[in-house]
Amino acid sequence: MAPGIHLQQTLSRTTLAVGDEPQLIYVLLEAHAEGLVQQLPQLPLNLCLVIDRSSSMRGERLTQVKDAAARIVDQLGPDDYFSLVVFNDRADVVIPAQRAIKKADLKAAIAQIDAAGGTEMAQGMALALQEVQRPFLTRGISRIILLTDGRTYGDESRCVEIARRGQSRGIGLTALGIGTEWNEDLLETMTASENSRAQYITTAQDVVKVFADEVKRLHAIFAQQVQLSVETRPGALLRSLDQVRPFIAPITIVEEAERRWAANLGDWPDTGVQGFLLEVVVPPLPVGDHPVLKLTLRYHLPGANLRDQTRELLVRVSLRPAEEVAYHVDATVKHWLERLVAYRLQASAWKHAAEGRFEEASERLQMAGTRMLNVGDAALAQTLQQEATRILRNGTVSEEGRKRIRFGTRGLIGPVASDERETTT
Amino acid sequence: MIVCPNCSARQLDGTIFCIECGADLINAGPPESTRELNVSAIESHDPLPVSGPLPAGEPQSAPMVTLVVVSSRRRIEVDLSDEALIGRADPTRGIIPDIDLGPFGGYDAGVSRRHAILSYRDGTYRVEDLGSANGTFVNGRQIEPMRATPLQHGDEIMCGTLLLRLEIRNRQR
Repeated sequence: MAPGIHLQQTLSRTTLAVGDEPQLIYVLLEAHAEGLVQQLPQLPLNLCLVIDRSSSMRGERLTQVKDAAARIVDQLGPDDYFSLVVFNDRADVVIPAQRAIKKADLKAAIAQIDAAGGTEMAQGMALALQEVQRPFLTRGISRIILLTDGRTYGDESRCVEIARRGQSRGIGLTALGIGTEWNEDLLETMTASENSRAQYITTAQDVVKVFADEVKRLHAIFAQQVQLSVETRPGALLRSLDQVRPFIAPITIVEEAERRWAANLGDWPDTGVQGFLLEVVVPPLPVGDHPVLKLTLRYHLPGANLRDQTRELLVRVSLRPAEEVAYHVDATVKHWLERLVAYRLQASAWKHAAEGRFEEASERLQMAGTRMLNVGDAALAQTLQQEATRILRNGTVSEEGRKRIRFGTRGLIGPVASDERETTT
Repeated sequence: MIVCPNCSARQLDGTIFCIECGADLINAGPPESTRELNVSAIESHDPLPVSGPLPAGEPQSAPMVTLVVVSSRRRIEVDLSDEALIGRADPTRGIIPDIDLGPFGGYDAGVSRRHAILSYRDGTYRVEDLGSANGTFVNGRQIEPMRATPLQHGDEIMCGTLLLRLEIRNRQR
């Protein structure tokens, strides 16, 4: 079998009752690599680490981060590029972009880093963008990995601007927050783009694993510039599209033409499943089988020198007289939807809280807790419950609770559980 | 159209979780037999003082309290002349609690059919957990089952994950 991407659909309901009203269906779209993509040559990696070395990093945090950076050097191959930028009140290039060949020298430079001073992130980001653009790669993956434990003051918008500039040139950003002091709004805004994400590291001991996992994931990328287009039948409507696996992320969809939506999904590793949930409004239809959506995935396989590969999938529903239709909802679809709903509820809770509507915020958090309890995350459900009560009483939530909720509902508290293929089928 | 039993928002048929409040519309409801049960429970629930007005002019002899379901801000008026069972109606098992939390998302929130007892005696309001599966909490603290815990105006009672606030009506005379 030629290497490519396999698509699989699961509908909340495949048989609908005939009626006069529009109905909602949920489509779970799951994708994974097929056809020995592991035999494709690995794409070169161009990685820049940006490390916060403000005084609050002193001690175990910095020790673990340095250890983790040294392990990354070990993971890199001779075709991979590596650079390292540190920042406190100012920023310095510790290792200029170079091939990861003289590993002992690279590690010696990493060992020299010490902690002092404040946190001025934009300087660090600016230098990182400069370093990561130095190597000339005809193909490969360029990424900035940022790690911080504090708030940067006054240069937030510059941080976002630099992140966007990189993203527009195909340079993704992984932003890792450690401890409870960092600004999750900023990291989430900086990473609101494909090939980027923010993640919460609760303890220093997790740093090594999170870094190693990220490099492993980047090395496993086989498909690039993956794009999804969704065409609906007349009268049907795509109400939302969100990523649900391996973690939850809202996706920007653009209605390119009448009844045709498009979304950029970034680069994909071959290690797990990419899952997406679509909410589709189906218009009233007569008895019979009807196509509702046409999904087209377009991507490049640079390792095989193949561009613009496509895979198509037609989503059909069957309409039957109401008395013949048993109302049944697919459990897998419901599971991923339930996680997504918990994520949406907490997001709406923060909005309500910002407007001073603490009762509504509390209700949303509480309901998110119920949803997480149902999907089997009792610890997060309890955090949601505690913060729901706290916000009702005090009008605030704890820094840690908010981070646990924001990143926990997305599945982005690190190390992130590996989301392997066998769990789907 | 489906009407969310928790927040009354109207939803398209086939919706699994309410878009407004996130309540489960399947277990709470739609074209399955459970919905009929819940709907009838809501509609035919007169014996119990669910948002019944205070009888006009009646002396404040009966201890009346209000339980506010925080998630939906619905108010349940309760007459505590006698003990009141908090739970979830299950007509097939013959369980009709005085305070039925089924219509307020009780199933989702892990409310047991026979969850707790609310009572008033000797000037004190109390709640007693009946060994429910998910426990009862007063102001965030889990209470010991089978032991009546005193309550005050404004206390938060949580059954499973459903949060209620106690409002004592005639505390000022």
